Amino acid sequence: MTATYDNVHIIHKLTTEFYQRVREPYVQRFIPEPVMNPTQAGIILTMLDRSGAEINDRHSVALSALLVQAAMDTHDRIGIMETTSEIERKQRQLTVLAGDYFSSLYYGLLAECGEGKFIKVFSRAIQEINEAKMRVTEADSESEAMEHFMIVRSALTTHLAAFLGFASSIPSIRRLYLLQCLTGREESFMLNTAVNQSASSRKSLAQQAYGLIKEEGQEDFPLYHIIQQEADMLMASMRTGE
Amino acid sequence: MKLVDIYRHLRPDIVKLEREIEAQVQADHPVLRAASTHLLKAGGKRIRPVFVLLSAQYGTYDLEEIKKVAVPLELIHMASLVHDDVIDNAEVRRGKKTIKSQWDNRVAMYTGDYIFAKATEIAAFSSYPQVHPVLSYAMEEMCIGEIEQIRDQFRTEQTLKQYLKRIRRKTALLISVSCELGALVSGASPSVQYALKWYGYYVGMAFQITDDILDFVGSEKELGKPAGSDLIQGNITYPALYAMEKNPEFRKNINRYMHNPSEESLEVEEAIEIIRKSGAVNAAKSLADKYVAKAVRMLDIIPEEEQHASLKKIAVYIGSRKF
Repeated sequence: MTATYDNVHIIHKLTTEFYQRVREPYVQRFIPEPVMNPTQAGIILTMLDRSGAEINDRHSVALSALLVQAAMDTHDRIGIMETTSEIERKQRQLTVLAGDYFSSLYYGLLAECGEGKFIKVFSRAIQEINEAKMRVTEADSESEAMEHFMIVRSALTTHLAAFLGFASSIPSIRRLYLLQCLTGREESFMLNTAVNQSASSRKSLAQQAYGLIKEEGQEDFPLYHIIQQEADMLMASMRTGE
Repeated sequence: MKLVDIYRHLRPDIVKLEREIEAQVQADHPVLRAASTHLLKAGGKRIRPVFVLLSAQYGTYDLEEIKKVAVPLELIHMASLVHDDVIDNAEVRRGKKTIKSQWDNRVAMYTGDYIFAKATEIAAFSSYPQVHPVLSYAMEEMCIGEIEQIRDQFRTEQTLKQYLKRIRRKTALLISVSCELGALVSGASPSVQYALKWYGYYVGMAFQITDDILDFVGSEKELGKPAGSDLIQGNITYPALYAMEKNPEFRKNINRYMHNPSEESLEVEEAIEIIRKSGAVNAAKSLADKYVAKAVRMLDIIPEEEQHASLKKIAVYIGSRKF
C-alpha cells in the first residue's frame, strides 16, 4: 500500500467497505475481483477533506468514486476477452454484469447518503471516459493516444477535483495515474493500445511524466504531497526493478 | 387494437420524449453517437415512458419534470439491452443488427456505459431527490436478476418461484418504478404512488410472462429473433418448466442439451412443438392473466381518473399481446 493519506484508519475503513460492497461470490468464482487504487482513495479523500464545499458524507462520496472506477476498469476487460469456450463465454457475461452492478452500487450509495450533487459529477466523468475510450484506439500518434488514455484513467478524480476547487492539480493527477500504469503499479488493459509496449519506451515516457509532475507546483500542499510522494515511490520502484 | 391506440392521446408528449432521448444521446465521438442512436432508430414500444406519463396524470402534470424520469428510464432500458446483446452474443434485435454486431463488443460496452451515465445525469436534475433511491434500487436489482439468470442458465432444476423472482428483477421492477416515479414527480398522494407502483409491478410480471410465451409461439419475423432463442441460450422460462414437468421424456432431452450445450444439439422446432402441445402456453397465459387481474385491482384503491381506462386497457393488452 503506497497511500500517503494521513488518516490510515480512514483508508482502511474505505478499503474494507469497498471489498465488502463489490463482493459477489458467484461472480468471483469466474472473474477476478476489482482492485482498489489506494492512492486514488487518498487523493479523493484529501480533496474532500480540504474542499470548502458542503459535504455531509465524505466516506460515501469517496467510496462511490472507487466503485465507479471499478465498474469502468471491469468493462475494459471485455475488449481483450476470448470467448471460444463455455467458461470464457460465462466470464464475458459476468464481466458485463459485474461492471453494471458496481455502477448501480455507486448510484445507490450516493442516493442513500443524500449527496445527489455528486451524481452529476460522476455521470459526466463516465461519459468523458467512454468518449476517450473510443478515441484511444483511433489516435494517429502515441502522444494523442496517451492523452486519451490519461482521461480514461483519471477523469473520475479530475472531475471531482474540478468540482471541489482543485483544478490546478488536474495535470499532475493525470500524469500520476499514467505513471502508475506505465510502472505497472496499476493494471490497465488499455495501456497496450495506447503506448508502445517496449520497456525502454515506457521507461522514457514514465520519466517524462515524472519530470512534469516534479515541475508542477500546486496550491494545496497535502494534495501536492500525496502526488509527489507517490510519484517518487513509483520511480524508485521502477529503478529498483531495472 | 394496437398498444399505441390505447395511448394515442399521449402521442404529442411521447414525440417530445423521443426527441429528448435522441438529443441526449448525441455523444461527441461519431461512432459512440451512431451506436447510441442505432438502437433508438430500431424503434421499441416505449412502454416505460408511457407508464410515466399516464401515472403523472394523477397529480400535477408537468412535462419538464416528467422528462427527468421518463427519459432516464428509457435510457436505462436501452443501455441494458445494449449490454444484454453482448451477454447473449446476439446478432439481431428488433430486426436490426445489434451494436455489438454492427461494431463490436467494445463499442457496445462503451455505448451502454455512456447511455447509463446519461440516464443518471438527467435524473440528477429532478426536483425530487426521492427519485434516486427508487431508480438506483431498480438498477441494482436488475443487475442481480441478470447475474442470477446467468447462474441459472442451463440449470433444469428450477422452480416456478425462482423463475418469478428472476423476472421480477429482470422486467417487473423497471415498469413498477416507471409508474411509481410518474406519480411521485407529479406530486400524487402516497396512496396513488403505492397503488401505481404495484400496478406496474403486476403488469411487468404479466409482460415478461407473455414475452416468454411469445418466444415459443411467435415467428422469427414477429419476434425480431429466432423462435426458441431463450431455450437455445439455456434460459429456462415458465413454458419450458411447465412442459418439462408434464413430459419426462422432454425433460430428459432438455437435460441432455443443458448439461452439454456445446456438444449436444437441440431440435428447436421439435422442442417448441412439445412445449406448445403440453398445455404450457395456456398455463403461462393463465398466470399472466392473474397478474393482469391483480394490476387492475390495484387501480380500485385510488380515485378513478380519466387515465384509469388507459391503464386498465394496457394491462389487459399486455397480457394478451401477440408480439
